[in-house]
Amino acid sequence: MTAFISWYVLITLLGWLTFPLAYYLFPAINDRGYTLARAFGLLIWAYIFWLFASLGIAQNDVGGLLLGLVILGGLSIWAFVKCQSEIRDWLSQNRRLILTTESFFLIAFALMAFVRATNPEIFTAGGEKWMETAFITAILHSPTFPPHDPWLSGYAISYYYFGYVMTAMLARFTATSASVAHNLMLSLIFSLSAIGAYGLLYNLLSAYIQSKGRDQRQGVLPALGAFLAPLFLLIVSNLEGFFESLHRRGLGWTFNADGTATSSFWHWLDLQVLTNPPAQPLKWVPDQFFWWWRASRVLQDYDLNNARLEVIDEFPFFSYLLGDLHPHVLAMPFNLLAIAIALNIFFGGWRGTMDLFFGQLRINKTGFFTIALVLGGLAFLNTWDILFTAALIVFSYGLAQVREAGWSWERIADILLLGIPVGLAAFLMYLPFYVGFDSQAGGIVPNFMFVTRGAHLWVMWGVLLIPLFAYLIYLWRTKFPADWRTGIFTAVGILIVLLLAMFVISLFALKFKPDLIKPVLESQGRAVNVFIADSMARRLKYSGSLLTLLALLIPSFAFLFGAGRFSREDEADLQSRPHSQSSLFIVLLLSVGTLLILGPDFLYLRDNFGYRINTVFKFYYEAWILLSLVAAFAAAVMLFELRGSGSALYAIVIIIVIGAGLVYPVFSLPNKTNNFKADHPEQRTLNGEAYLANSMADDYQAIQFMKQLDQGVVAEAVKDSYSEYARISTFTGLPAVLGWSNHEGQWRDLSLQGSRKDDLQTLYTTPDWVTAQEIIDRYNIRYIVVGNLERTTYQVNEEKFSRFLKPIFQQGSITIYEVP
Amino acid sequence: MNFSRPKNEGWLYWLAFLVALGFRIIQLGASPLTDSEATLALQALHIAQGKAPLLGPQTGYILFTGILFAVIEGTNFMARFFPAMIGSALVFVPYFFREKIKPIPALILAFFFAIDPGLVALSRQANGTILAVTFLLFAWGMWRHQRAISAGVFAGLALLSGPSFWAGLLALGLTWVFLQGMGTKRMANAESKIVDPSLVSTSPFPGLEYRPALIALLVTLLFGGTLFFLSPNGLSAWLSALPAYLKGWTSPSSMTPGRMIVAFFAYEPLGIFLAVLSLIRGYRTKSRRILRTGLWLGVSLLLAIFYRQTSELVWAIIPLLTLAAFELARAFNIFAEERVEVGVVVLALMILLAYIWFDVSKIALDPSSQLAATTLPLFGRNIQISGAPYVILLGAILIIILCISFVAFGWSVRTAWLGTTWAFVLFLGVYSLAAAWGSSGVRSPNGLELWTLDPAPAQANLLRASVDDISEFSLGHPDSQPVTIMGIDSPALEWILQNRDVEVVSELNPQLAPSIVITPLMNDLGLPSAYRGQDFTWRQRPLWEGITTPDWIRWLVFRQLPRDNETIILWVRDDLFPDARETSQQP
Repeated sequence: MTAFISWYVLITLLGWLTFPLAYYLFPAINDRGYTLARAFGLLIWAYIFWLFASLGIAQNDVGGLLLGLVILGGLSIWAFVKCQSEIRDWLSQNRRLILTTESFFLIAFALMAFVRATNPEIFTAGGEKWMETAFITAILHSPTFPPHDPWLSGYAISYYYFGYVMTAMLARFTATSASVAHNLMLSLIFSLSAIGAYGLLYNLLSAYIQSKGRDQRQGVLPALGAFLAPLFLLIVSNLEGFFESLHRRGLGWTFNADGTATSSFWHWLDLQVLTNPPAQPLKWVPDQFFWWWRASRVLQDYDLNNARLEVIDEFPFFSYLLGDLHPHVLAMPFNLLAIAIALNIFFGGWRGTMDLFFGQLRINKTGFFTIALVLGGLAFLNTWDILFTAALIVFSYGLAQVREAGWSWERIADILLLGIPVGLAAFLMYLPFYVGFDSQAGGIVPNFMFVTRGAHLWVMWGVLLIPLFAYLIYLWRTKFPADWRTGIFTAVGILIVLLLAMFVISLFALKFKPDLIKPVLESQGRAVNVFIADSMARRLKYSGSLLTLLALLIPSFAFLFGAGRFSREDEADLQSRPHSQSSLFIVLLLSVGTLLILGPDFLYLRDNFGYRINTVFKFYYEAWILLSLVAAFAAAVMLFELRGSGSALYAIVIIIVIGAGLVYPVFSLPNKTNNFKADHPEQRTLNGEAYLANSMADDYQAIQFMKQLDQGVVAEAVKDSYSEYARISTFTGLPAVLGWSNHEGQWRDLSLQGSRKDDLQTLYTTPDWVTAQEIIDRYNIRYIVVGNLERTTYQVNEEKFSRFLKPIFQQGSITIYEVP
Repeated sequence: MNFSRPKNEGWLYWLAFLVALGFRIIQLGASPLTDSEATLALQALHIAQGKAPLLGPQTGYILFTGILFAVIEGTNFMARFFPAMIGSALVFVPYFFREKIKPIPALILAFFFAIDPGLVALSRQANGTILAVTFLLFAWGMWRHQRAISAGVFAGLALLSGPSFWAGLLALGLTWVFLQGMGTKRMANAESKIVDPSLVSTSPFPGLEYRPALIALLVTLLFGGTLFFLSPNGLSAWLSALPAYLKGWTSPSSMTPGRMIVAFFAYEPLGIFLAVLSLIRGYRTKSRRILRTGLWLGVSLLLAIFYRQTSELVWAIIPLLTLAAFELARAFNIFAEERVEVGVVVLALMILLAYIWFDVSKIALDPSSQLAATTLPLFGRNIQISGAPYVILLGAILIIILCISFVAFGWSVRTAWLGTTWAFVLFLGVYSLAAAWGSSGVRSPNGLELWTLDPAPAQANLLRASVDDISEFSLGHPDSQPVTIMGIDSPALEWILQNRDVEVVSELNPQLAPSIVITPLMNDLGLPSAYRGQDFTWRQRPLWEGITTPDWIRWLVFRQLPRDNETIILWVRDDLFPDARETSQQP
């Protein structure tokens, strides 16, 4: 409870400290950055601290953190002095928004912390909590930056670790342990995302209301309708849970007299496990162990030989249910911040000019560097996210320029003129990160044979697709300016470009890197032409997905280009129409979100997995952020605008859709949290490692002991990922010779592991002290762990350790030796 | 009362500075550094050696001492030199407040600062406490004189000085808040009455140009805090002073509030005596100046007592001595015709006070035996009295009270007050000088002073001499033999061996045979070679738990308390001794 309160107080004070700066930096949106001030403050604070620590200016201690706060405070005071009377006026006029934001943040933070407290365990199975904890403890234990890699001694972390820096900062500042911080950070990210989404929709809706000539502060729509954004973003889930419930109840199954059951529907739908008949007795509530996991595995990829490959299609609620503090989750509030930046630009913020030696940018320096700061931060938080946020920002800038100066090809130059320098600035501002980052991305590769089925697409996105289509129809019916021809050409053109890209890249690969292509062809047992023909045939067979996405893209592009064309001809007329700029921005979000879903059907980023698992995972997650905001806006506006039977019908549809999307959270949450009951109420805790005291009692005590030790390399058993191996390095932050080797292979060149795995085996098994000492010297090992895990992994010869080394800790089965 | 500016005021301040310097510089390096001092000194040494150590919160001390080490050398004297100089410069602080507290009390205050036992002790410590005090007060003084840039520079230096800065700032801030509250309340009560605006506007920082001050502060932090970018991490290290200070509240030291009070009374009796008289006078005359200073004293004292670190008493000493200076300045105002009477009273009281001190000393010599019954010939009879020295002590005190009362009622209250004041000033002044001398560590190297939590190593010089001798025997140079320290967490030990190749390990490698090993008390190193060992007394920790009132009396007089000695062993490999080599060379 103390930790929760200290985190709450710290982040709230941070938000208040940052607000004057946010107010200054977000002049064009109605909440002036209040709802995002916490996230913005955390980003700036973390950036200053990390940069200064990386440059050797700040020490990795509370003093360094305070230095960051002092600088942030200085900037904010400067902003306050510049516009104090405006800020005072804004504060007095927006009390309702402030109170709502503060209450909503506290409730969201407390609720998620409560959920985490009911299942706080940092387990190895079903996620990567150990990896995340290892990063946090390593950052806390690193005397200098870059922080050391906890699972590969002698190296720095090679991962997008900014979110873990933030977590470690908050942990250190509040004197919270890493294992508590893991759970509190997840709760914090949830609550920051909740108010961030609320704020974004509030800004869009209030602008919408203003465009109708009404005072946005008086409107019920922004204040209440904005709650739909966190609902769609964080709670509403895909339809897998809904189908789980139907399946568990036996709907669609024919039960035969011999006790078997058959279902063509469920086999057609082809969701994992749900092709099997439900267990008896039938009921509505799914109860199979780990059933909720399957919601993140809706898409089913089969190669041409019908061998299935796992695809991840996580969505926000699943992430918070699972409890992993992974970069895509950590980045969520900052993605919302980037969207707010795009909105600010789109609404005309940061007007001014900036002379670059190759052209003039129509944005002021403050805006330019704010964009670079946030985009660079996102690349450091979750590198994938920079793509869609950068696209959103530059397209918003482009649309704003279209609105200002009308459409011409110069707008493309405008977009490039912003995109390239701002990308470069974002890179340079975070240069120390890239110096130590060894990306394993191997370029963009074509995806021929894996196509998302329409059915799976609808199970995954149906809850959002229905409001989206309804809104597009509404825009069409209300005569939102549209350029249908350009819309169709653009959508189809993008499709053709994607197909061409597939073939061109393949041709290049065949010619210059045939070793990349041949294994694929060999695994499928097909020649090139047969492989392409079969793949294309599958594409035609599974065209439902493509058609759905085109049905979204064509009107979206039509509205985007329509508004652009219209403004050139008669801008005043557009302003006078009922459709506000908010609607246009929403269409932009919809276009980018749809493209994110479409992209992985054609191309993906090559990584260690060798297929599109990660690309789908990351792109779908980003798409959920965008499309949930669009769905929320659409639902709110249409509920507000529709009258009569249309309104009632729409309300019923939306309620049914949201209801279907809530089946998953309603059923999965009690399942995951054991009905919110700890085994004993007094055991409810946020300490994620507390469970080790029972399950690995001796190791737990050793970990507590080793947390107090000076820095030194640890030797412990190494074997599989997603297991208890690397338990000491994970929870102490002391670098291991080697931790989860599979993960290390994902982060950096596999060859860097060298013979570490074998050397560790030799260290433990050899009876020869000279051999052991040679290994100890090679890796500069200071602590050697001999516990049950080592004994079951190796034929441990402990005699040499006990003879030549002195144990510094011994309890039960575990002994820690220190090398002099 | 004559508050005119004294003749040769400037020279007198310089005289105070010389006195202060004398108390602070004499044998400054004689006493070995304590562990806490050595921790900082080692960081400064690493800076001087061009390394980039993680810096503690007392950044200013570390960086500036690092310059001294780089330019001159890393000795005990140089480690304490910077605080000693800055601590001496504290005497100039009253000069900047002399319009506020009047010239003569300011000058008296300067001399009080010069000889005060607490200030002397803290100025002779290798840390940033006295820097924080001096720089913060200088910043305040400069601010008062509208010297914005100087104020900013000194404020920056104060910020770099460490956690004590925050202690002082908190005390001043709370005092200011209380004064604001009192002023507001008084205004509310006064309603239609005209209220002196100075009551409300009690800000210690009257109007000043903030911008140049702020720029000067930032420049000082930037350049001073990084030693002109030679040590960039200093920029964040000074900020860790705030959490370090706050941590002191959550993790208090072993010092109890009771011991803090004992320390305050034991080291500051002169200040307390005069301050009490001053406060009584201030209360009776409603002197805002005295009452405000009294409030500052109360706040600082309470904070220090509950913070439980004697060094923080320094923030109570400043207002205490200020009050004392107010009072003593009044006592200088003796008419020519009353000098004889006052002199007689002073002489009589001095005799009685000296007698009391001798009695206390007798008790201190053997506190337990003084409680035994003693036969005294009284009224022609031998009377058995238990604890006679205590009875005599009480009797002497009673006689002093009676004397003062008789003079007051029979002669004049003014004569009694002046005589008493000067008698106690002279007596307690001598005591304070002795206490200052003692707290400097010069009088009794093994005396226990309460100004540091960790005692100085008892036989540090002997240990270093022994290591030097062994090195010289074996290699012909005192610094050549490497030293391995095993299982002892003592920066002071690393400091005294600073010029040697020192390795600190938690365990010895059983396959190696280092030349010189220093370990905790143990019988055998378990190494392949033969070693000879010599024990040394290292840290001596007072046994606070068992200390009784007689022990405190003994401490008051002799600075001695029961202590627990930590013994360490200096092990030298057998073949390094000349006799071993001679034996091995024999046919």
